[in-house]
Amino acid sequence: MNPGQMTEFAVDDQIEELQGLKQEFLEEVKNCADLKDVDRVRTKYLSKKGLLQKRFSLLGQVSPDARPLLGKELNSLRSELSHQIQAATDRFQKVRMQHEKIDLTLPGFQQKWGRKHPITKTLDEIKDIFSRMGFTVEEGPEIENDYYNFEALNIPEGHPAREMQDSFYLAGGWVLRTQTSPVQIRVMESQSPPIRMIAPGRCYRKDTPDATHFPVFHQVEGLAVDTDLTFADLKGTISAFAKRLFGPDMRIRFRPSYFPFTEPSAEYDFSCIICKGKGCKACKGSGWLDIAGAGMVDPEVFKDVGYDPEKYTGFAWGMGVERIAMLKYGISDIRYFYENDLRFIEQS
Amino acid sequence: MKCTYHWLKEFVDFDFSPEQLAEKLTILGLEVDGTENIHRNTNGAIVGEVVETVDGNLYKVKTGRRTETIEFTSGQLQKNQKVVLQPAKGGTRTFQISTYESLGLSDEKSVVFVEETLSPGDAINHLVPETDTVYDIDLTPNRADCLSVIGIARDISALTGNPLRNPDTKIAESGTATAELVRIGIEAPEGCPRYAARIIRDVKIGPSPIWMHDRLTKVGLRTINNIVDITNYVLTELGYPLHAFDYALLEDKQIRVRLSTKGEQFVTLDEKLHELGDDTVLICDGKRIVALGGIMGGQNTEVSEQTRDVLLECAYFGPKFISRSAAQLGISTEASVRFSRGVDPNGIPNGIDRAAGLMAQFAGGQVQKDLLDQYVLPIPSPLVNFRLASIPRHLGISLSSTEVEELFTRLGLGAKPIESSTNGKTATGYEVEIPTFRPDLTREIDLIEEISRITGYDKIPENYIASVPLLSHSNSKEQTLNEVREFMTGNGYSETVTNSMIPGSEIVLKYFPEETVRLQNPISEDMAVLRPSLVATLVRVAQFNLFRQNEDLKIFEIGSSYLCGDSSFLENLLLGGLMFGNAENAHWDHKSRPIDFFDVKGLIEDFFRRFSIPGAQYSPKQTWALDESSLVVRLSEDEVGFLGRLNPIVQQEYDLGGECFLFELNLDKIIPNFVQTKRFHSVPRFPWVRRDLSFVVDIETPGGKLFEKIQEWGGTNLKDIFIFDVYSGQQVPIGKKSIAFSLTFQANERTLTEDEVNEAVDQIIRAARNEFDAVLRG
Ligand SMILES: [Zn+2]
Repeated sequence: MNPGQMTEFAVDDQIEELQGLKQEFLEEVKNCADLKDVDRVRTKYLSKKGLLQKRFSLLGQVSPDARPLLGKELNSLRSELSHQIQAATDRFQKVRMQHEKIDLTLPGFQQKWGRKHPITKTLDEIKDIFSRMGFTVEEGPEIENDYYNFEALNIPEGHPAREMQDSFYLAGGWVLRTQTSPVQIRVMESQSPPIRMIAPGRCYRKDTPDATHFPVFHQVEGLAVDTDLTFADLKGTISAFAKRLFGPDMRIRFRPSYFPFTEPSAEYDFSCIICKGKGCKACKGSGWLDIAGAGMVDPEVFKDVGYDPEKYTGFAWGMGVERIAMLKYGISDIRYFYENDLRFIEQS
Repeated sequence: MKCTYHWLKEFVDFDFSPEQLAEKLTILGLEVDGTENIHRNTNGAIVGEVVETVDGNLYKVKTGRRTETIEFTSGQLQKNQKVVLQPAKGGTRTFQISTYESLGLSDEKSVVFVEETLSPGDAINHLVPETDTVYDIDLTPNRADCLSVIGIARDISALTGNPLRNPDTKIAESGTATAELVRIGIEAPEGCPRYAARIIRDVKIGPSPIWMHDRLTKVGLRTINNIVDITNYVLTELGYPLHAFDYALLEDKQIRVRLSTKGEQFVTLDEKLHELGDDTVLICDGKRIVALGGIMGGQNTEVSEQTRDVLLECAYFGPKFISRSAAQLGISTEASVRFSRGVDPNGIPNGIDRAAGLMAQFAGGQVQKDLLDQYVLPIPSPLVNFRLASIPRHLGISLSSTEVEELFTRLGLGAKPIESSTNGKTATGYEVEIPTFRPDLTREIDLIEEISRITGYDKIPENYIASVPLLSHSNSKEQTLNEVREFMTGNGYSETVTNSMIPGSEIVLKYFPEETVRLQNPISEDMAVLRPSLVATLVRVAQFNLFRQNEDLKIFEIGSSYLCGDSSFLENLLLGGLMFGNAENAHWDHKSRPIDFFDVKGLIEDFFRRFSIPGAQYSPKQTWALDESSLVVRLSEDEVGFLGRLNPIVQQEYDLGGECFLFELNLDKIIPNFVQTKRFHSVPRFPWVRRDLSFVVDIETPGGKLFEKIQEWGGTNLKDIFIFDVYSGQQVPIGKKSIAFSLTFQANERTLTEDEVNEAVDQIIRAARNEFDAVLRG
């Protein structure tokens, strides 16, 4: 047939054929079983050498008058077919996703993550708070001689305070330090005021282990020496510490006590963190939890390290790290710290 | 120290409830450790007198104006005997005759003794209060003055400003002068500066008055007889330890005070034989020892039912003598505790007269004339200068001179205003006379403490403003240790903190026979020595956790080891770690892998890289803690640690089934090598080229050496090297192994050409062939 002779009737035929093509296409799409089938159908009809493209190439043979009509039909059919292919593709992809979907409810993989011991964690907090207040962190040996552990702290031989702290002795009169105060003496011997320091560390006392005592324990002792420090500064320092550690509602209470290296001496209490001071079992109804001792540095101690007690005053305090940790983390027995059950430490 | 609410009220007025008083005492520094409310059935109880026995157990008893017939079955009553009557049970208006048990005084079922001075119809609840509170005060060792009820009352008086009422010590003397009845000779004035004696004749040994019985039992003292009870009563009331001798039993009517010589023997009241050392203060009569001065009396002159005349002793013994002897003998008594801390030497006449007066009143004795008082080394009241300006200097508050004088007066201190001058500056203040009942007050600062104590620590403000040095030395070790901890936790290791005192039988100790540090006075054999290594405590933690079924362990500790050195003890700061079980957490999607040697080696290699410490050398060497396949770590020839698998002997001892790996590093040696400030270098922007080389070498060839050499041969452009396979088996000849390296080449300033890389690789292959006989595999 001569292309130039194509008639309008022929165009109508063409359009009719296109309808047939569409029907076949739809039938095939409907019979697709998977994405592969869809892709095959797409190639058959819509690729460059596909059935629909062939019709486009015949467009040149149609009379110019009929061309727009047939072109419009072809374009609309192509978009219809493309749409159908996309829909089929989407449908099968969704199915595949449903098939291959992972169970998101299962637990994830966790790397082993080590924990710091709660004593270390508490020490870190204490050191951090006092560092912010301008205190340096100092250290010293655990095996001390009699001078640093007792004499220099105004506890001579036969002093009743030696009974207060039953100590462990080693050969040659050496002693396991009963407090970290010896570090304070060493620092005062080697530095001049002003001094603001804390000495954290391991200490030993001859206590039989029970829920609140252990013969090994950790202490943080603090010391400040300057020309104008008073008991009010000591109270402010302890109070600020309590508020930083346990929150702004904390109150502190100082009670007179006795330590050979401080005068005046005090025991200090924190308002009970459990009942907020109303009185409960933990505070024996008093609303207060006893924490540790504190006081103004005794002038004798200053004389021994060569500071002029008429020029300098200072304050010192101690605290038990385990005691603070037990309060802060609700730990009921000091022995847990030294058992090192991983299930305990891993709560840290 | 125990005292009661009503006993304190005898000496000072106060409005506090028993609960408030406990609080106030604590705030005064007299910490109340416990309180006990005690009930006595004295409400409505009165004194009665037996008029006659009606029949067997029925008695006619005068109850004041009336007479009632009352049954009593717990013993026989005498005509004219005074008894206590308490309302009978069941609420009827009749009385029953009280026993100690029915009044609630003790579990004794005998009839209550009533002293002469009471008459029928007298109520007794003012003598024995129906309710009272006992305070158990945990005294600090400085407060010797509060080892007495009067001392505690004095503090309450100081707190409230209400006056202190001292007990009556006036006595009626009669008979012979004491000096004619006994001679006193002090041969050890340092041990006994003062010795006072009184003789009370014709005492009737019997029960104590009911109120004394009541109070003594409340403070935990057993009642014995009126004489002994009175000494205990005055001891508690005024703080003077007294001793009563049976005068008839004193040989030669003589008291000698001397020091013991080693080897002397003495039987104390409690029937114990003591072997004495030197310098114990002894009270002797003409022939023998009759008491350990200030500690305990002897059996040979003890007051008994037969005693008629009593020699009453009240002395002042040197605190050091008493504390030393008491410790030496292993005896601690109410007396020795008080003398050790210091009794008031100048109040002795008061104490002895108080007791003698009570003996006259309640034991019917006659106090003989004149106190015999040998005061051979008088102890004066010290004078202390006190500046008003020292109050704000130490306390941060100011008090007026009126307030200060008032406080001194309340505390019983005599204060005379003076102007003192130091360094050319005059200061207003006082010369303060310290009474000898306060041996703890010797300096100005002690008086400042007294002022702050009575004023109340709550009156001192909390100062939140501080002056802080801007430049102070910083502790870099502290920070370094924190970084080490973070390194370890980041690698999945949890920190342990262990008891550094370990059992003396611990197997690891056999590796430190000479260096083990032993405690001289351990609590128990379980904590008898200090650990010589962290291995000792880490394996115990491992054992404990395995026992608790925690079967995967990665733990570490930073702590000291303790060793005996040549001339001193050595404390080394160590980092130790132990691993056991699976390397990673279990997961349904991962296969767990047991920990092996290369986990611990990799950790240590990474440790040195993390802290930029070059030159760590690993050499195979068996150390005590580990088996034969282990390594020691050296830094410039110095051994700084070890790593490997636990020695099977130790492993077996601790029942650690499976493989256990551990390491220990000496941080004291390593930390000085830490690079404090790291320098960063720029990262190359040019592409890298990777080449894989697989060498076949003799099976004995150390792969680590080849690894190091390739690093060296590769030059600066070899940026990374890593072994991805080690193989021996069918694919390589017998006696050979293949090691596969992955090499990454990269230049800092340009893109490497293919030729450059090839040349570098060729050089490595040649060198490996020459030095290691290494053949490139297929
Ligand atoms: Zn509470």
